[in-house]
Amino acid sequence: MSDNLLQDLLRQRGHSGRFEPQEALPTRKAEAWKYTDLKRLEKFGWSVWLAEDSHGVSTLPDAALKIEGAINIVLVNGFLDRDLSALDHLPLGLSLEAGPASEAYGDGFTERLSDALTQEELTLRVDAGKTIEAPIHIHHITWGADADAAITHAARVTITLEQGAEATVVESHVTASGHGFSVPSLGVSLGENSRLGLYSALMERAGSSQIGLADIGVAKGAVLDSFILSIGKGLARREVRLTMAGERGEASLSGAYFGTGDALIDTTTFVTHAAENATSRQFFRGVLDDRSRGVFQGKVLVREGAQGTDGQQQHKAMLLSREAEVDAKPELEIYADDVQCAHGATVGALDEDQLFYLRARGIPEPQARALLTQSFLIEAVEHIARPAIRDVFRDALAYRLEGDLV
Amino acid sequence: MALLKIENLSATVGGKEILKGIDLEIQPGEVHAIMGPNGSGKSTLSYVLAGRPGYEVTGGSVTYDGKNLLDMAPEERACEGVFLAFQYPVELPGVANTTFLKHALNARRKFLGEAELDALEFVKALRKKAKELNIPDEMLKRPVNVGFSGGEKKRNETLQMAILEPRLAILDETDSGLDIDALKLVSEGVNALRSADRSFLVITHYQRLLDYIVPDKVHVLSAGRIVKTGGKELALELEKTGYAGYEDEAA
Ligand SMILES: Nc1ncnc2c1ncn2[C@@H]1O[C@H](COP(=O)(O)OP(=O)(O)OP(=O)(O)O)[C@@H](O)[C@H]1O
Ligand SMILES: [Mg+2]
Repeated sequence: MSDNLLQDLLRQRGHSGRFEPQEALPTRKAEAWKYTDLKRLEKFGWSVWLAEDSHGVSTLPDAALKIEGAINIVLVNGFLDRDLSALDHLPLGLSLEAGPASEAYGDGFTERLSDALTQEELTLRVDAGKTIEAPIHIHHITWGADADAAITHAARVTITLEQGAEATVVESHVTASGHGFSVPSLGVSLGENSRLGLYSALMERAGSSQIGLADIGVAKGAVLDSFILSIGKGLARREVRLTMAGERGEASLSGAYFGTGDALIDTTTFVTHAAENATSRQFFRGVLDDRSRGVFQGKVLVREGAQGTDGQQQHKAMLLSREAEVDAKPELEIYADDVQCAHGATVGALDEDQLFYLRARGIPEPQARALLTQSFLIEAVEHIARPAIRDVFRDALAYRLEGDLV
Repeated sequence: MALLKIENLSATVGGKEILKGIDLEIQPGEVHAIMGPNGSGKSTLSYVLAGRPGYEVTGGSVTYDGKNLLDMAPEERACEGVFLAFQYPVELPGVANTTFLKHALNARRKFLGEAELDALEFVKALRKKAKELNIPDEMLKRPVNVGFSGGEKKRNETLQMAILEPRLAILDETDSGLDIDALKLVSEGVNALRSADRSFLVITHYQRLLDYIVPDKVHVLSAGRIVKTGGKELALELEKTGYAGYEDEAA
């Protein structure tokens, strides 16, 4: 075991990708990691899960998010489990394959880490003009042989919607046993006039860490509706790179997070408008209790020539305890002149007047607090366009606010 | 026995003494009105009775239904039947009106050891009472008070009162901002609730309300003290003379 965690992982994986021989995990001196300290990873001796390892998951764990009528695709420790997945009767127009990993786009730390650690890639494709009615639910499950097991895994999922295709994809992350350090990556391509609902639920146990990446391209006339529910109890960072690549594309990229204990929840978005008349909407809400921390780094870049861009971003956080903390860094960079862009970031506490109003109607204080917290976050959840998914996410959030993961 | 007995009550807000020795006794079934100039402490009194944090009682006592009201948490007071219709109703984004009322009613039922209300029955009862107050169903689905007009907020407070059926209702300027028709509806709502064991404390600036909700007693609050008490004719008198004479008395 070396004192360099990154090099140790690369050695186990047998592949150092694009890392230098002595390179280590980024520290808070790196601009992109200023607010998110990866030191906590050093508390565990992580084992990289390899293709030949075998797990003991025989059914979906209790912790799994349940979506009625969904096509369940199950990945355990980064690898597709064919027995647990509903691969036999996929609807017409949907194909799903697992194979060797391709490379992620970009040369940031997260991309390189994902490239180095990813062993298998799941490719999901919807044929032109086809609508897949049933939600496709990709379960990312961490499984360890015992409670102390510390497993590192990295799954890559690519989703391609051909022209005019339509689908709903949910990707959820839970811990069955032990704890995980996972580096999941998503490569998403929305073809012209396609429509995708893409919903993430990060619900891992305390002690877990996740550094996730989503790279999404929206072509001409395509519509993306996406949401990130981050309610795990460990470290969860999600980097989203969204490119509005074709004119009149529309994207809603929203999320809600809730931190307790020493959770660290980091949402880092980078929206690039590279085409005319495209719309992007970001609406994020977070609530932090105990000693938990929230990070929101949101950047909107409007390229030269992206006239008629409408890019909005809002992040609001609420702190429930003195020790909780949030760092928000919204950024706008505009190189076109006919644009409508706005961003706002606020941090507040529970509103005392609201709390009193509820109590004055007989609602006990703890319940009144929970109700206000929930309604604050639900305003974000309401942005989910698919009603069935909205209900599932709302319930998962309510359950988490009562103290538990699904 | 009086339903509410306030004795020599004094209270401070933000370190400033606002209530300076209030005595007031309301019997079951009675309606009392409080009138008085802006800033005289009417809302302060209502908040002290409802238990709002930050309103510190520095002397005196309040007995409600034989119990020490000041010992109770706000939610306990509400569950015991004290209701305050706020002068400035609070907006609750993300909390649907119906959900809010269901939580409130169930909290009270739980406190009283009663079973939770059947959801369907509740919605039926709510719709009926809303209709009586000319509150459209659509408003019940909206978040509490968010985007409501001034008058709509006041009607919504009245609806909450009608649903929660308090034993002591304190109406803090519920008539302010109401149009003539709404004023009648709200008054009818109050009058429908009047009964031998339910009492009202009605804070208002306008004698007009008291034509509809006829009070048993009218008190004048000035600079933190009740400086005069009379029958309903006192309101008429105040309408003519204003508070000019009373401010001196209190000083
Ligand atoms: N937090 C506070 N700090 C200091 N003074 C306060 C505070 N809150 C209220 N006051 C003062 O207390 C006094 C009484 O206010 P209150 O709201 O009870 O008056 P009111 O009789 O209800 O008036 P109105 O008729 O305008 O509603 C006012 O002078 C007000 O400025
Ligand atoms: Mg007042």
